[in-house]
Amino acid sequence: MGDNARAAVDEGQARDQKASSVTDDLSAAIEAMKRATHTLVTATGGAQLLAPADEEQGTCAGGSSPAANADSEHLYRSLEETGQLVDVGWSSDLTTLPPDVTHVRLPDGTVKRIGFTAAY
Amino acid sequence: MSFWASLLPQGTRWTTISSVLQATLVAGQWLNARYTRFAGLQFYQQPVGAITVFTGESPDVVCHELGHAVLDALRPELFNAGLPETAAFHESFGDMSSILTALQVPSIRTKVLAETQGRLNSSSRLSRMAEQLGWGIRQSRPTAVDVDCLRNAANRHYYQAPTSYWPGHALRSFGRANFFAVWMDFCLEDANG
Repeated sequence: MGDNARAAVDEGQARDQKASSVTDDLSAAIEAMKRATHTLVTATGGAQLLAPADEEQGTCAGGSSPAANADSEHLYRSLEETGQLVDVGWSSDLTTLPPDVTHVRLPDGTVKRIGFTAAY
Repeated sequence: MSFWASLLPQGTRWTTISSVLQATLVAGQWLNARYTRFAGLQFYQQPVGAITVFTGESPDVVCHELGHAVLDALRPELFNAGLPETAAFHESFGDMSSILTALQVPSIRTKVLAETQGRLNSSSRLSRMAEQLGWGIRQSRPTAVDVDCLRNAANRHYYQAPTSYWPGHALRSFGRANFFAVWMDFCLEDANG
C-alpha cells in the first residue's frame, strides 16, 4: 500500500472513530471509506491513469478559487463537447481509449488529464 | 534530447509509468501525436490524398511532445491542474521546445536568417510549426490550423480571458506568440550588441 493510500485509510479510520463517538450517523465513515477506496484503487493502478506524481495535482496557485473553478468547469465542458473528455470506470483500461481523449471523468466525478496532443 | 539533457537538473526522472520514456513511431491512424504517462510519446500516420503523413517524421512534432514530457518531469503538478492557462502553458512549452531545438541546427539558423533577412520575429521556417501536419489537417479541416502550418509563432494574437478564447487553438498561440516575440527580440538585441 502506498503512502497516499495509507494516509487516506488512516484518515478514514480517524473520521470513523470520531463519527462513532459523536453520533450513530455513519455518513461520515461511509464518505471516508469511499475516499479511501478511491485512493487505494488509483494508487494501485486500477484505472491505470495515475502515474506516481499524479497525486501532486491541484496544487497550482488559485486552483480552488471560484474563478479557477469556473474556468475548469468551462474547460471540461468544452472538452466533453469535443469528445476529449469521457467517463470511465475505476477499472477502465485507459490504453484502449481513442487517442484523442485527453481527460477522463472517474465515477466519483473527478476529472483527470491523461495526456496532451500536438494538433488540437 | 541532447538539447534538454544538458539543461535538466541532475537526477531528473520521467514522470511516465515506465522509467524509460517510451516512443512509438506509428501508434495508429491519426493526424496527431500525443504524450501520456502510460504510453510516453506516441506518433501516428494517416494518408492524405496520395501522401501519407507520418507525424513522427516531423522534428517540430517530436520536440513538441518531448517538451510535454520534459515539463512533466520538471513540474508534474502542472499535468492535471485543470486550468486553461496551465494547459496553455504546457502547450506553449511544447512549441518552445520545438523552436529552441530547431535553433540548435546550424543550417536552420542560416536558413531563417536568409528567409527573414534578419527580422527574426517574422514568419519563417522557425515560426511555422509542423508544416506538413498542418497541411494534412487543412485538407479536411481548413479552419482548424493556420494557413501555412499547424501553428505559426509569428502571429498577432493578444491575451484574452480564457472563457473568450476557448477552445484550445488560440491558447497555444498565446504562449507561443509571447515567447517567440520576446526571444527573437532578445536575439536581435544580442546580435546588435
